[in-house]
Amino acid sequence: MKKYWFVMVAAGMLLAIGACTLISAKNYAEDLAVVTLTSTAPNAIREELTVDGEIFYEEISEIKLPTSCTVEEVFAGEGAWLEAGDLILRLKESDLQIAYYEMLLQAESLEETAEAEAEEFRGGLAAWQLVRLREEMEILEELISQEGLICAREEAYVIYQGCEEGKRTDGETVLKLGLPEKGYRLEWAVDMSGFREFTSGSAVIGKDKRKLALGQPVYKNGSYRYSVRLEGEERYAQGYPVRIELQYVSEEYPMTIPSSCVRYDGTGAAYVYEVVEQQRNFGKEYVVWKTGITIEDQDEKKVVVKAALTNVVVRSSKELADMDAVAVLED
Amino acid sequence: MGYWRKAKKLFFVLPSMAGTILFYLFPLCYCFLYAFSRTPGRFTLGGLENYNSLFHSDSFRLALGNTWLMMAACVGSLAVLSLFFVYILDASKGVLGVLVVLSMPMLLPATLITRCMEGVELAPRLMLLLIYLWKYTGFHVLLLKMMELTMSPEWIEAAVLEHARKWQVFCKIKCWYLWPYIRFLLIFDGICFFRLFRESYLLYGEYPPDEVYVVSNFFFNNFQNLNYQRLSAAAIAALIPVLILNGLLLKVGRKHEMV
Amino acid sequence: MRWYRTPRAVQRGALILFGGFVMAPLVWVLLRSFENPVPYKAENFFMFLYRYLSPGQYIDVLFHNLEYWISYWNTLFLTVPTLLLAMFLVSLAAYGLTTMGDKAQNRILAGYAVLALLPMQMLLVPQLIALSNMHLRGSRLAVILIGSFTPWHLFFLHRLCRRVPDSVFEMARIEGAGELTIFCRIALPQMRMGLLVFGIIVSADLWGMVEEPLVYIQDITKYPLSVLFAKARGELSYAGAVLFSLPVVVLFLNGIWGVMEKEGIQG
Repeated sequence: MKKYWFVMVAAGMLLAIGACTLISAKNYAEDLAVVTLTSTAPNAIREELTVDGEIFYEEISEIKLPTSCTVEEVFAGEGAWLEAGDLILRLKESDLQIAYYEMLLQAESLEETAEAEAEEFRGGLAAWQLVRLREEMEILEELISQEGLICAREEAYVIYQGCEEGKRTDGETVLKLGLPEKGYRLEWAVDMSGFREFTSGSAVIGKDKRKLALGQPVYKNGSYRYSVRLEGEERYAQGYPVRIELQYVSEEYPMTIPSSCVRYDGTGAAYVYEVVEQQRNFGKEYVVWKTGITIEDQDEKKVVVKAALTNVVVRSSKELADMDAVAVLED
Repeated sequence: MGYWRKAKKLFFVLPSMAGTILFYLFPLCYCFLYAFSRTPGRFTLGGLENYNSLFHSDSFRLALGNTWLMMAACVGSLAVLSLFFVYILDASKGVLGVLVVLSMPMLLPATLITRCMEGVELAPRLMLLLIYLWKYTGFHVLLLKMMELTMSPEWIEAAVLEHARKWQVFCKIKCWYLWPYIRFLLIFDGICFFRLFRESYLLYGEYPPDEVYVVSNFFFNNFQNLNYQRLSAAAIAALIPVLILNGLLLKVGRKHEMV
Repeated sequence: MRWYRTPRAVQRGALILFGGFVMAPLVWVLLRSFENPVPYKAENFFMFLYRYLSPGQYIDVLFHNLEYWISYWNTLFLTVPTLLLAMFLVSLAAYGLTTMGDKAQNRILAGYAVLALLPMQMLLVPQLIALSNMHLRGSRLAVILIGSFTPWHLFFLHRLCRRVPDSVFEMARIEGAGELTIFCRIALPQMRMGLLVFGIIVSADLWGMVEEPLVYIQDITKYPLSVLFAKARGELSYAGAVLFSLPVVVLFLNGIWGVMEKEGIQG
């Protein structure tokens, strides 16, 4: 036995080395993460955004009474559609006449003051007040001639009616009428974070979808506001809700990769894993290299990068670290 | 018949000689040629140009100086230390057993000692000297002690009768008896000194500190720089003194050999 | 002759000092090979044990480092054939030399001694050219051949085998034995111990070779483990170094003990 100790020891060592080699090979293969790869390819960035917009009247007519008076009757309230000649309000005629005569007296007084000012070559305040007064008196005259009735001169939509039957008006605007004949504007806002220079858009109004000619938005209060003139025969209420679908399609970028390839480290810097071949003593091996990237543009599915990348890891069966050995899945 | 007998004896040496001539002697002769060539490819006689540029080269002068200094220090220290332990220690079973274990470093791969010394802050020359002594002292002491055992005890007895002291017995009898082995070990030490390149390479890489830049590093660097003519000239320039020294060593004391 | 002996205390002291000098690096490497590869903070005794007495490095090297074992095999594929070929050639040559006259012997040995003194780096270029011309560059055979014909092998073995007396061979020749028979039946058994020592020393030398594979092979798939250590520089653990040295240690301890038994040194 002693004679063959050397042979036994040598055989034992060879077996041990062989076993360790096999186990190491098995563990090496098991430790490999399986990855799928892609490379940069030319592509355009596409993005779609849906926002809510509203339709507004291009022109709004405001009716403001020069004096406070009692509203006897209200014929049309807010949201009412009016044809030309339709009655809207009846004001108390006696209030109008009283107000008119008071203005008349006031006017006479202002005339004397204005003349005096003119002779003395000073001011002009009285004259200006007189002009304003006469304008108000004209309105009252018209109202009195119409027996206190306010009616629509043309097709209109009552946007606002600020008075009640039997109550006095407070001298401010009593009616706001939207004028359909003057047209509509479609307005919407896009948050700064979602903003892009959209290339096309469409408005979904009811069941219709209309293409929009987008203009330059205006930045205001942290958002970009669009306003587009709406053509057509349809009639809408003020603030009619509309769904706006905006599309952005960029020029074709030469180097894009799927956004699933991009990872972010603790500092927020973007990187990808590229697979490179490495020669080891047991043959070729694939390892992953962490490569920092600069994102020029992106959408949900793609990312535009500056440098050409090849063999970028799209998916991996395990968490990867720099210089990890991997197995590449064939296409 | 005598010639045939001589020829048969030569057959035994022939395979080894053929290989040594093919892989060592011819390359050495080629080295001589390269040393006088101007170009690395085809041979174009350049005279002593290569030697001229070589001896004007600071790095070669540094390497040569370091080689001699370190070789003298390493081989000398090793010889002194080995003989000291041969003097101190008895050739008993226990001592020889311990020496067997202590001669192991010579056989261990260089990676082991360099892994240990990686974090140690020592002067490079001292580092390599310590590594050299660590590697070879045990083997030297073991070999000399084993050879000492083959010495006839009657010589010591005769010396005792003559009232010789221990150091006299050591110097005048033991050393002379062991002189062929000491001489062999000195030549062996010279060869081992050049093998210190492995430890130097593992510790310091291709360009070690100036203090330990020896001809081995110079050769290796010139090989990597493809400066073959310079390498060959340096090899010849370094070889000749070594040959002279070893020739003297082989000659000296031959007549005093007891075996 | 007791007074010729150095006092035991002095001998012991010298051995302890010398032994400490030699064994300290080995023990250090061995201890560090049991350090946990993950540098935990040793807050208590059990964590201390976990940190400094862990088989982690060995497990990593033994079962999770394929590159290490491939290089180990490469070391075996280079060392074993070189050693066997060297022993065969050198034993033949050593016997052939002993049968020659002193003059021829000394001339040949002087030539071998001159070649043995050449540093390996000196002959890199010419040997590389010779190997390229033989279409061996990049192949393991280049290292095997260069290693097998190393001149100092014969010089070394001849020194170890000088004690075989010529009269033994003469008697065999007189009896009518041929040279081959004398070599196989008389010379080889006589040289056995010398060959054993030669084998131990040369195998240890070949086990740790660095420059030859780096220069002659230049193929990472064929590099031995010593080159991997040279290139990795600090990445391979202490356990890797210990496991690498193990075959040499085992061979040496068993082999040299056998030599000492045969030489009657232990007896």
